[in-house]
Amino acid sequence: MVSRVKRDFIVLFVVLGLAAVLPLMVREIYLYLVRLIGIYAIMALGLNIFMGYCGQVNIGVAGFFCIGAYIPTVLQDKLGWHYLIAFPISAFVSLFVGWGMSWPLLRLRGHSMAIGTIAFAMAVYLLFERFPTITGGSDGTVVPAMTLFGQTMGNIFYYYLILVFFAVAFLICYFLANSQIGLALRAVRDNEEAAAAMGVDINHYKRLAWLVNGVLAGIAGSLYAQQAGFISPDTFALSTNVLVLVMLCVGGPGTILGPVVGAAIMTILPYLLVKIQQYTLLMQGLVLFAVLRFLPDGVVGTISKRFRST
Amino acid sequence: MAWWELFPNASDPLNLAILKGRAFMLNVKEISKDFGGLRALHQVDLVVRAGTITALIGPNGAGKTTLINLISGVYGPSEGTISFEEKRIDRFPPHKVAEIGIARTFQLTKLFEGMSVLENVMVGAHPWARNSRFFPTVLHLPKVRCERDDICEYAMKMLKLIRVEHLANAPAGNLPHGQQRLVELARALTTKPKLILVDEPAAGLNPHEEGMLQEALKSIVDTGITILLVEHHMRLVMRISHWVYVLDVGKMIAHGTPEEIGKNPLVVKAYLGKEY
Repeated sequence: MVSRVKRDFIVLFVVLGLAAVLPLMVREIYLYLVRLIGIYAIMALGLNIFMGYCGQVNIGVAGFFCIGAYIPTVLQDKLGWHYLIAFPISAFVSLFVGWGMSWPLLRLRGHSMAIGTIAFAMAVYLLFERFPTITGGSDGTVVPAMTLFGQTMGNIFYYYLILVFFAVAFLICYFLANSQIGLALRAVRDNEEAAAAMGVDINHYKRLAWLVNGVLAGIAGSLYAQQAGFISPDTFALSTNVLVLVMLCVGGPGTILGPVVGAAIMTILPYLLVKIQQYTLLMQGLVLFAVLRFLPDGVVGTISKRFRST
Repeated sequence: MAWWELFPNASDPLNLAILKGRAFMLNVKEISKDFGGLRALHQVDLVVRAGTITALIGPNGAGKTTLINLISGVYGPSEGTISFEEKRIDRFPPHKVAEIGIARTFQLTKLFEGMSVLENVMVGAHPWARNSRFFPTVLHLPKVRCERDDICEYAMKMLKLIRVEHLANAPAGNLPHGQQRLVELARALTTKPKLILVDEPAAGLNPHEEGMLQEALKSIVDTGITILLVEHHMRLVMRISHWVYVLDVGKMIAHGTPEEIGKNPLVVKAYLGKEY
């Protein structure tokens, strides 16, 4: 078991090392893609803990994404706070909102939980849309550029910021998944009654997974807003919820690498198909259909199963 | 010590238990349970003495599983009390009941199907895995890693005790029914329980698996763990239990040694039929 952890660490550090030297080698458009992949991977990693491991349904990640994007933007814009102060605050706000919402939402199951989480995301979306003087309303708002030591930070800085947070999020999820907590979460997913009989406090673990999901989505939102430079409520509509969900399903829920691979595939796909841009949504649907039909455990899930059986 | 030395005066088990220094481990007093207008259990008393195998038998629908569910906290009783080692537990949620030392298995096996056998059993370590909190886990502290190794080792030990250690890496969902039951037993044991509630373990087992089950139950009691066995299977009950309770339509109609129960006309009428 130790050797497996060591192997995973070597792979992780090689990948992170490559990503760290990437800005020296490639053009900005590719860096933009890697940034997006990083942001979506952070969100999908959190969703994976809640859906893949804990077995609950959440179609409301965009709610946290929205909170994470708007709070630091408004704090910078209206109060003139620095991004690096406003950013942690938004993570705490995500935590508190998640904690508050966990009481009604975690009582639900299955379809009603799906509807409940969508409602949460829509409520957050409408809340930010309805106060144009503060948030810019449906026209959106420009995110002030961040300065550090008198210099305006550019895309390279955000690239490394996202990389660091991606690494942290990945390690958190990796350690969680391979721990006694990960076992407890999977136990809740597979059979709640049996999990409770083994001493697993079901509500506690559902809440834990929900908060990990919410805070990671919030952090992803803060990173997204800052690197994009402009946000509008449309960025956080239902399609974002579905996109992250599709990423998780394509990559493989309940696997550690799944959300990362899924985020990469679903982010790159529209750029590969730029010639038939008007059919992007169709292509995404086809990819999802193909994965669910032929690789029901997702890309990573199916591959790792093959490896285990041979 | 054989069971007949423990209970020479079978008509008065409660006083006898004190005389012999066998403390009450579980004390169910005048418990009733209503589901809507249906009274599933009516004023049921039951005592389990430490270190013994106590059996609970009765026809289908007698309320045996309801009683197990009440003890393990799946639902609360309508009337009456349940105490475990002189502590009231009748309002405890299931995970608290597991934490104070009552483990259980299920009539229809409930393994975690997406996990391997070893992982299933490791979940059982939850009540005593005190170091595996969120922040230590996320920071990957050495104490968490050590605990994880301990858990793994203990789970293997329990699989060996039940003699299913060769299945450790098999996916739990694909196991045959009999092996699932044994794995469930190992999982319950990994919680380090004082009392283990075994709900119809022999249902659907072939004779060979039944023999393995009997051996497993004996090994469990030899390690000092008390067993409350709910069972249909009279052969198994008569062979291994020290004390038998008989439940019929929600009422406790008799209790005594296996021999007495076999001869009790009430029990024979309610349940056993004339051949026994």
